[in-house]
Amino acid sequence: MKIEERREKDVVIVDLSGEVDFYNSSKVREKFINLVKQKRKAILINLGEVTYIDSSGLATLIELMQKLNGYGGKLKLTGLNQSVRNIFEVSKLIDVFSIYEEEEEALKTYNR
Amino acid sequence: MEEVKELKSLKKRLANLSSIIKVNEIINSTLNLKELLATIMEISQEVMRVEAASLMLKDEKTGELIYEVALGEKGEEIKERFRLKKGQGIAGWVAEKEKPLLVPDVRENPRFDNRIDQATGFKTRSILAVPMKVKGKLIGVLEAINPLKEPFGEEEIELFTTFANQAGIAIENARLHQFLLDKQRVEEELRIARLIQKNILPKKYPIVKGTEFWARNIPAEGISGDFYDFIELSPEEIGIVIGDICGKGIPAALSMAKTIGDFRVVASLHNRVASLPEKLSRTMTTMNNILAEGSTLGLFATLIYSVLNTKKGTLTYVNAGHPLPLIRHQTAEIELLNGKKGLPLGIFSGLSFEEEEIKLKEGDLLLLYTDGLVEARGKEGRRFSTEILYKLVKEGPNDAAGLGEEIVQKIKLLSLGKPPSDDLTVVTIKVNKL
Repeated sequence: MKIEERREKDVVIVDLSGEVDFYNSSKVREKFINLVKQKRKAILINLGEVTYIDSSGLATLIELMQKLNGYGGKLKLTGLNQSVRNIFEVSKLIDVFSIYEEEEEALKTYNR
Repeated sequence: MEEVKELKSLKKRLANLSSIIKVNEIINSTLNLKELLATIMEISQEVMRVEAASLMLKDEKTGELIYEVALGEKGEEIKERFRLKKGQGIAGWVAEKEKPLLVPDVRENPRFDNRIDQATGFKTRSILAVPMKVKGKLIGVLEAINPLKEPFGEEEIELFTTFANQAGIAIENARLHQFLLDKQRVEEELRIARLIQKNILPKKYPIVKGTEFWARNIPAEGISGDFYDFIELSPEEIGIVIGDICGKGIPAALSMAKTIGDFRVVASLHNRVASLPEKLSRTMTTMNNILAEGSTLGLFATLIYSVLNTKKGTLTYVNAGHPLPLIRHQTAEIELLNGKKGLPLGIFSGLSFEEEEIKLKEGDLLLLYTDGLVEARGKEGRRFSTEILYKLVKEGPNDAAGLGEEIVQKIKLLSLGKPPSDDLTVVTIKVNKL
């Protein structure tokens, strides 16, 4: 699993890749907690290269969203492949997150 | 004259060698890390004939040097109060270059960091610092401070370097021993936690004439975030709960224990004041609020709460983000309970939930499960797909225990005897007579 960070104006884009599971989701969480400490308001998680995400990975995303909501930030997701999308659909999390097909499309929505 | 000097040097080296052998015996006599570090310090002071000694270990995460023990009068004060970054101070330089450093007079060395002297009132004059290496890897730095008699020379550097490496090996052995002890303790604690958890789950099935119940929970990490429960609401109403705390290991297991306890209380409270179907949705609303308000680490639960009414022959259920249950009718036809699905519990507070009701027929066999079942990964990432599950339900045994056992067996076969990658729970209910 890899975690990389980019900037697009005020939006922090976090690119995750590989398998996000119980064994490495704490690394993802560390990254997220750092962004929350900096009170980042616009965060976009790109799951484009994620091949598998388990329930610990999902919980990490939920925690980030709850923390962001707490100070008026916005979390958005992009790049879900079909198998990752299925995992979100089964648990209804597809309705919990703001999910965008394309990164560009997601980026535009932050300015609104 | 030259010969006398040489002989003196040789004698000194011999004395040093024998002290190293002695030292080796002492430091290898304990596997207790704390004791060992203190012993190393004491011996450093003695062998090097110095006023004080200090030992810093490298923090693997940050690369910083941390004072573990400092002996002499001010030892306790220095202990753990100071950290040195890579390259910082004399010890930091030694750690970075992995070479000994002799500073005969600290006043003349700009690297000398006098913070510790300032904090403790100790007066450092001269330092000999050597790296502690194990299998070529630096694990810390040893310092001998202020020689009591002669100033440090080449022999002292050699002696202290050899000593530091012996000490390093002893430290690594003690650490390994500690790690194994910790591992054993954690395993034992997990075993007990698993026992406690097993006791939280229902120990027996409800006794209802004409109906069979069966359930099984298989944890992935020894302990599980999955749970099921049977709550007898009235003589003809049985509440059936199946849930999955998302996350694994200890956090999920702790949350599971709380959730199952809370659920029993909340379900009985609403059972007293409301009737079907409202008591289901109200229970779910309350449980969602409890979970959302106490949410930690983003843990949430997918859960189905259903009530089997044997008098009316109905199954009323509320689904919060959980995989759809299946019914196999007497005709072997499979029906998915795909009524409205709400969000999982514990994400947003203030949500409301809707019930669904279906009419049951005699011979119906109901299967509820957690997603460990369809996530179970077999060889080369093959998963126990919903298709395989449907086929099993359609063609498997026609009684609650038989079907349950068959599903669990098939999963074990598919995962080649390895523990499942996710917690797995299966609940089956067969309605023979209404």
